[in-house]
Amino acid sequence: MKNKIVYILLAACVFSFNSCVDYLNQTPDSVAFTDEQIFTDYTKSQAFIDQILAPYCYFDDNDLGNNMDSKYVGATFNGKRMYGLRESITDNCIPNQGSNWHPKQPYRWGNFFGNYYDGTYFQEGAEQRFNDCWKAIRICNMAIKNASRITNGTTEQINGIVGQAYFLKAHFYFVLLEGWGGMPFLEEPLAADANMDLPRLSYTQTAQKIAETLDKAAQYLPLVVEDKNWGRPSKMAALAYKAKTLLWAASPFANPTGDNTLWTSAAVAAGEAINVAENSGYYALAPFTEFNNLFVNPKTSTYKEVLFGRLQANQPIYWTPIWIGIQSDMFNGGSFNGAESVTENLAQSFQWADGSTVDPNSNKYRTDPYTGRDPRFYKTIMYNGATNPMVANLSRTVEIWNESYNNAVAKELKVTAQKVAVNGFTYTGYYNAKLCDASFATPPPSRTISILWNQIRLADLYLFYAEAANRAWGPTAAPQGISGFTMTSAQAVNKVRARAGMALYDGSAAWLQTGDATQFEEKIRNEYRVETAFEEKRYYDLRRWKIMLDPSVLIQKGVYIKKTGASSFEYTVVTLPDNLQLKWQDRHYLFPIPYKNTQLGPNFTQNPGW
Amino acid sequence: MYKKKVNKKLNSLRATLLLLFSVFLVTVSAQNLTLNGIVVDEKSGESLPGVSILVKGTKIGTVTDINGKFSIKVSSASTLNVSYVGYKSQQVALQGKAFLKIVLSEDSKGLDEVVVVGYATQKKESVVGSISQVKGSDLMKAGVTSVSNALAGRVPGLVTVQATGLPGSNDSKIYIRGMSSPTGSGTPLVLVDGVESSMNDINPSEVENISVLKDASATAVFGVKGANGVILITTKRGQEGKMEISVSYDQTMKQASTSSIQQNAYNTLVARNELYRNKNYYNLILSDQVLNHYRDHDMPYVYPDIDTWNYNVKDFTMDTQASISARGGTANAKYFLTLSYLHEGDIVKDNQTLYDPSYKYDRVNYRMNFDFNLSKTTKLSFSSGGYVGTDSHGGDYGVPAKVLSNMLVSPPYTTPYYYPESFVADHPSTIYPNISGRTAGTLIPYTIPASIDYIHNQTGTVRSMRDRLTTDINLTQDLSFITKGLNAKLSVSYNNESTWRGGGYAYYGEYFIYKEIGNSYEWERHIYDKTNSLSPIQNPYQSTISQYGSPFKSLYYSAQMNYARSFGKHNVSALGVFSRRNSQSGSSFPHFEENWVARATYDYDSRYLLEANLGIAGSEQFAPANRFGYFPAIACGWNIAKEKFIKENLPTLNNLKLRYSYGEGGYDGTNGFLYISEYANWKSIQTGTSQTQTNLTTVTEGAAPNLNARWERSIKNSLGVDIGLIDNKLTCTIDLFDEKRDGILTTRRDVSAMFGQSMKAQNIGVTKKHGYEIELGYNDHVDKFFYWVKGNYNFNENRIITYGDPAFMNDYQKSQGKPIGQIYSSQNIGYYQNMDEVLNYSLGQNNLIIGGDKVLDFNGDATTSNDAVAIGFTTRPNTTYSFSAGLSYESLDFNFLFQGVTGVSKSFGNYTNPMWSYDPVDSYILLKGASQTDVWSPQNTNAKYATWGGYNSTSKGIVDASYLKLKSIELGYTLQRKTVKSLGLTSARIALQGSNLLTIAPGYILGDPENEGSTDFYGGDYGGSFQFYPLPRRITLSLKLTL
Repeated sequence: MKNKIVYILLAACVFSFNSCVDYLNQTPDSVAFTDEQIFTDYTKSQAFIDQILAPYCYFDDNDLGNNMDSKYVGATFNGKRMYGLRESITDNCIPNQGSNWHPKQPYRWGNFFGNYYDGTYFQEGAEQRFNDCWKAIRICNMAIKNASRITNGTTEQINGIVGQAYFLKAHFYFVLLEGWGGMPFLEEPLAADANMDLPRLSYTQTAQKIAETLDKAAQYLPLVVEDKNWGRPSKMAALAYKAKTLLWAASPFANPTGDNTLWTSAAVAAGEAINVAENSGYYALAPFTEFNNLFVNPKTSTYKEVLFGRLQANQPIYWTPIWIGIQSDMFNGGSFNGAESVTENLAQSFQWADGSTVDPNSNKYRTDPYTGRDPRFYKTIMYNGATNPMVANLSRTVEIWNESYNNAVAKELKVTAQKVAVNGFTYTGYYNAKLCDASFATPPPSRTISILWNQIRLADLYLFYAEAANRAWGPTAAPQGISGFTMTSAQAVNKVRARAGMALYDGSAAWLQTGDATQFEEKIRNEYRVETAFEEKRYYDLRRWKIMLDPSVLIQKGVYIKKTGASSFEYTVVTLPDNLQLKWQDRHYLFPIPYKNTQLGPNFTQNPGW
Repeated sequence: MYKKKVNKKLNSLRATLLLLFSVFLVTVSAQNLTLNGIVVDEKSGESLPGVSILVKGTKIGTVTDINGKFSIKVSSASTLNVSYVGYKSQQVALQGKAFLKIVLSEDSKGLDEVVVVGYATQKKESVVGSISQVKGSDLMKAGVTSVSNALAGRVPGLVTVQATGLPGSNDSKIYIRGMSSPTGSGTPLVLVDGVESSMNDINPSEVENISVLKDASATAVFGVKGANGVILITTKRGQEGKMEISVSYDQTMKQASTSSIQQNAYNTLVARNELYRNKNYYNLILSDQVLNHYRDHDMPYVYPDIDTWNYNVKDFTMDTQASISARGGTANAKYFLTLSYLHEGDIVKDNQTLYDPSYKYDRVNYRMNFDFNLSKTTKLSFSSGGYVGTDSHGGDYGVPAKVLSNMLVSPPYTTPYYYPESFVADHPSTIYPNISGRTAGTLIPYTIPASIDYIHNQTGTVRSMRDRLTTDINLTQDLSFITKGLNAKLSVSYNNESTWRGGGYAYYGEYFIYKEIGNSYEWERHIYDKTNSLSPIQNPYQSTISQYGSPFKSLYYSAQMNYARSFGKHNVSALGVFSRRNSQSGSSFPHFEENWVARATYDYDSRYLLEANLGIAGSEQFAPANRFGYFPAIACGWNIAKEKFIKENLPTLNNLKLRYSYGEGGYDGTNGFLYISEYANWKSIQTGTSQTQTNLTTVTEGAAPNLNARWERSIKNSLGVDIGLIDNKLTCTIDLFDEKRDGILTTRRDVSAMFGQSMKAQNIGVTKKHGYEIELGYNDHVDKFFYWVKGNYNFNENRIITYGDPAFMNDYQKSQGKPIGQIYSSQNIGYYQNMDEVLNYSLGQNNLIIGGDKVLDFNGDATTSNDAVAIGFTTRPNTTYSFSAGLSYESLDFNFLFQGVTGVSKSFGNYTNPMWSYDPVDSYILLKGASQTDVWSPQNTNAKYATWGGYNSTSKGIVDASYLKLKSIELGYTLQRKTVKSLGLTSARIALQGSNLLTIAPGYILGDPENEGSTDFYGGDYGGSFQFYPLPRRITLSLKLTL
C-alpha cells in the first residue's frame, strides 16, 4: 500500500516533467494585445496610428486652460504649461498679468531654461515636446513597417494607414525642424539596443526628407477626406505641408545665401498645391462673413478652407475664447486673468482700407484711429469704441481708456490709482476679438462651443506661394514649371485681400504698387501677419524670417487713451514697461536640445549658443 | 516533598524505559569479575542514569540505574564502551579495577559535525563550500525577538542593518558579503525547512540552526535565486525519547536609543530672532517682553516651553515573549510542537484617554513538526508552522514613523500639549478656528510637524493583521532495493500569507486656539475633523475607512533523488532535484519557476574532496530561448591535516583544510515579461466635423520589449582555509572571495529621445566585488572555568564597471567606477564673507546672506545644478567586525558580543543645520550644543556653522555612520541539577540579557547610525532620511524551564 502511494506520486512527477514547457509558457493578464494581434488586424492597426490624433498629447493643441489631462494641463507652447495664447510670446500680444503670467514671461526674455519656480520647469517641458515628436515618429514608422501584415483590410484601407503615417511622420519632423533644426531621419523604428548617437542632417536636408515623405503621403491619401473622417490628413494637406516645408527651407534663417533654387522649389510646390486645390471642386476660401468661423464654431464653408486642422468639437463653456479674448468684469465678474493684451505693433500692421499704411503720428490716428481700417481689423482686435454683442447687451460700446476728462471709470479697462492696468486687464489698450464667439450676448450658463485650430488653410497656401514666387520669379512674373498654372505672386496675395475686401495690389495708388521683390516681400509678410494673427503662427515666422532681433519686433508698444469729451478721445502710442518687452538673443532662433540627448556621443550635437 | 516524589517517579519511568530499550541491545552473560561503578557528568558532577555500558568486542552490556550506578560481570582485562545521548562516548580500560567512576563530558560539537547545505546535509569535514552555521541556542543569547536581528555579528560575511525599531517591523536587512548589484534588494534567498519563505516573524526559539551559504558552490543549486547568497533555516524536530516540555518567558524593558536633540524655547527663539535679523524679516522678530515670558514660564499655556520628545516618549516600555514546546517520540513517530506569544510595546506615551493610538505588535507563532516511519524504508514528515500578528499604530495612514520623527524636531515653543481639567472647564467655548490670527504663541498650529497631537491623537489608529501558514509534506523512500545508498524524496509545500489593514482617521480631537484680549487671553476650543471643522467625537475605529489586504500564496513541489555510498575510502554522493514553484501576490499575475538541480560529490578518505553542482532555472519571464539559465559550480578541498606527514610532524594541527570554489549564480531581478510587447487600449479620439463627430478608441504600445533578456549572472570565486590547533581549541577560518556580476537588468540610460518609447530592462550592468572574512576563536577551560573568545573581521568592496552611462556624460556624474550606493553631493566651500562675494557668486540662488554657506560650482555653469560629486562612502558599510566572548563557571555563565561597521556614510541634508525648520515660517529648532559662538560672524569668519539662516548643507550633510555597538550581553544562571530535580524539572535557567546597550558613533548627530529613514509613501515629503522609529535598547529577564 505504502509503496503504491510512492509509485503513484512518482508517476505524477514524471507526468509533470513532460508538461514543463507548458508550465513556463505564460502570458500575463496585463497584456491586452500582442504585437501579432495589433498589426495583422486592420481596425487595430488604424487604432494604433490614430493614437497620435488624441487631443493634447502629440499635437501641440492649445486647450486654453482646460485641465482634461494633467500631464498636459493648460495650454502648451512647446510642451510647457501655459495659459492662453502662444501668440503672447510674440510681438502680437503680451501675456496676461495674473498668476499665469510667469510661465510665459521667460520665453519673452529668452530664458528657455530659467524658471520662475524651480529652474527645471521649462527644461522638462521642452523635453516633453521634443520627446513627444519622436514618440509620434516611432508610431508612424511602426505603422508603415507593419502595414503589409494586415490580413483583413482593403487596399484602400491599408493605403489610408500608410498615407496617414507618412503625413504624421512628416508633420512631427516639421515640428522638430522649426523648433530644433535639422534632425537624423529615421526610416524605421530604432531597435532597443541600437546606438542612438546619430549625426544630425542640415536644416535643408531635413526639409528635403520631409518633402519626400509628404510626396509619399500624397500618393496614398484621398484628395478630400470624408466628413466623418475630418481631422485625418488628405492629399491636399500633404501637398500644402510640402509647400510649407520647402518655404521654411528657403526662408532667410535656413537659406542665408538666398539660394534661388530653394525659393523656386518652394514656389513650384505651393503652385502645384494651389492648382490641385482650385481644380478639386472642393477647396475654396470661406466667405468673409464667415471669417471668424474659421476659428470658432466652424461651418461647412470653413472646412473647405482648412487644409489641415485640429478640431475641438462641442466642448463645454469653459473653452470659450473669453478666456483668451476679452477680459472684463462685464463678462466674467472681473476675477479672471486670461486676458492677452494685443500690442500696438499688431494693431498698426492693419492698413487703412484703401491699402495705405497707418502713420501713428498723424492727426487722424491720434484722434480717430479705428474707423476706415482693414475689415479684418474689426474681426481681429477689440478696441475702444468697438461694438460687441456682450456689451451691446448693455447698450453701450466697449470702453477702454486710461484717463477721463470727467473722472469716469472705464468698463473694460481697470487701472490702479497709479494709472497702471490691473492684472487681467489690458496693458496695451486692446483685446483679442478674433477667437471670440461673436454670438455670445452674455456668457450662457451652459452650452458648447467648437474651436478649430487650423494648422494650414488655403489663405496660408496663397501667401506661401506669393512669398516663394516673389523671390523665385518676381512680384508679377508668371510662374515656371507648373503646368496649367499662371498665378503670379501679386495675384496670390490679392486672392486673400479680395476676400477681406481690401484694396488689391494692382491699383494706381503708390501704396498699392508691388515695387521690387524686396519691397513686395515686406508687404507679403505684413499680409500674412494680419491674415493669420492669433493663429499661433507668428512665432515661427519671426524665426524663419530671421527678424527676432529686429527693433521693430523687440520693442513692444501700446496705446494710452485719454477720454477728452463725451465721445472724443486722444490716442498716444507708448512703449510698454520693461517687463513686457521682448528680450531675445541670437541663440533663440532654435530651442536647446534636451541635455541628455547630446551626452550620448560626438554626433548628435547641441544647437549653437546652448 | 511532593515534587521530589514526582521527580522520582519521572526518573523511575525514564529508567524503566531505558531498561526496556536496552533489552533489545544487550545480552547479559556471566563473567569472572563483578565490576561496580558510577557515571557522572563532568560539569555538574551529578550522576547520570541510563548510560549504556558495553564490553568492547562482546555483546555484554548494561545501563546505569537511577542513581547512575551500574554493575557488570567482566574479565579484568576488558575495555568498556560508555555512551550516552548528548555526551562524548568513552572507552575505559578496566586494568583490574573493581570500582570505576566514569566522567562523561557533554558533546557540544554534535551539531557542528553536520552542516545543512542545499537540499541535504554534509559532514563538516567534507564541506568545501563557504558555509557558516549558527545554532538556534546562540540566537537566543541575543535577547531580541527577531531572527535577523539575532544574526548580527554572529556570522562572518553577513552585513545586517536594522533600519527601524518599529514594533512588528523591526527586522534587519541582510546582505551576504555586501552588495553586488545596483538593482534589486540585494538580500539573500531564505528557505525555511527547504521552502522559500521570509525570515521575519519566525520565533527564534523554533530554530534548530541556520546555515549561511556564501559562495557559488553552496548556492549554485539554487540557480537564479542564489546570487545574493542563501540562508537556510532548519526548525526543531522531534527526537526519540520521553516528552520534553520546554517553557520560556522573557520580559524586556526597552527604551529609545535616541534622545532629545534640541534646546529650550527661550534659546531657540533668541537665535530665531537673530536669524530673522539676518534675513531682514524684521516684522517677525519677537519682543523682549515675549521672550521673557518664554524664559520665565509664567504663562505656560501661551508661551510654552516643551521638549516634545521627552514629553511624548516614555522612559521605558515592555516587550513580552513566552513560549511552550514539547518534543519527543518513539522510533517510528516523533513530534515537535510549539506555541509562542510575543508582545512588542510602544515607546510613545498615550495622551489620549478614549482609545489607544500607540504602536504595538502582538504575535502568536505555532509549529507542528511530525516525522513518521511508515515502513522500514518509507519516512513521512509533516511540518506546519505560522503566525498571526496584529500591529497597530497611530498617526497618518502608512506613515507610522512620522509621529516620532516629528516629535524629535517639533519646536519647543509651539504647543503646551496638555491643559488641566480646570483649564478646559474654564474655557469651554467652541468658536470656529481663526488660523490667520495665529501668532508665535498660538497653540496647536496646523502645520506639520508642530502638531504632534494632530497626527498622533487626531488621525486615529491604523490596525493591520497579518498571518502566515506554511505546510510542508515530505515523503522519503529508501530505494536500497535498487541499489544501496539510493533514496527518493517527494515534497509539497503550500504557503499562504496575508495582510489586512483597517482603521483610519477616526478620532476627532480637541484643540485650543489662543486669543489675546487686551492684556489678558482666552481660549477657543475646537474639535478637529478632516471634513467638517466641527464634529462630535466618534468611535475611534472606523474600519470601513481605508481597508485593504494583500494575500500572498505559493505552491512548491519537488522530486529529489539522493545517492550516497562509500566504497572503501572512496565516498561518493549524488543528488538530483526537480522542482516547481508558483507564487502569487494579491491579484497580480502569478510567477512560475521551474528548477533542475544536480550535484555530485566525491572524496577520498575525507582528505581529497571534489564537488560539482549544476542548477538549471527557468522562469516564464523570458523568451523560450532564454528561459532557462544554467548555473554550474565546482569546488575542491584538501584536508591537509589528515595527511600522514602532518599527523606525524605537527600533531597539534588538528585541522587544516583548503577550499576553493568557482561557480555561477543568477539573480531573478525581473518583474514583467521582458520579451513580450504589450499593446493596450488608450485614449479615445474624435474624428469628423462638429456636426459629424465620431468617437474612436486608439491603441498604444507599452514599453518596448527586450527579446534577448536573460538572467543576471554572477561569477564567484572563493578560496578558504580552516585551521584548528591544540585539540581544536584555537580555530581560524579565512575566506577570500571575488565576484563579477554581469547582465544586470536595468533600463538603458544612453537612450536618445529619438527612440520614442520607454523600454524594458536590458542586460546591461556589470559590477565586481572582492573581499575577505577572517574568523578567529579560542576556547578552553581551567578546571570548571570554561571560557571562549571569538572575533570576525569582514571587508568587501565593489565597483560598478558598466551601468549604461552615456559616453559623453561627465566622468564625475557616471556610475561607472563608483561603488554601489555611492553618496553624491555638491561641496561646501566656506562662507560668503561679504556682499561682494554674495553678488559675484550667487549661482542663481535667492536669499543669500553674508555668512551663509557657499557651494562649489563644480562644473562652472554658474548654477547649483549638476554639481554633485561622489562624497563619503556608500550607504552600506564595507567593513563589519565583531568580537564576542563568554565564560562559565559551574552554574553561572556570561557572554557578550560587540559588533561594529565602518566605511559607511549617510546623507542628512539640512538636518545637520544647527538651527533648522520643517516649516519655513517659524518652526525652528536649535540643536543641542549649538551656540552663537559656533556660528559665522565678521569676527569669526572661520566658524563651525554658517550664520543663522545661512545654512546650506550639501557636503556638510554627509556624515560618517560608522559605529561600534554592544549588541548583546548575557548573564545566565543554570540551576544545579539537584535543585532542578527537587523542583520536578529537567533543567532550569534564568538569564539577564542586554541588547544594543551601548553605541559608540563619533561624528553622528541624530540617534542611532543604524537607524534609517523609512521609505514609505510620504517619505520624501517630510524629509525622507529623518523619518524613523528609533532602535530600542533592551534589557531582558529570561526564564527557561524544561520538564
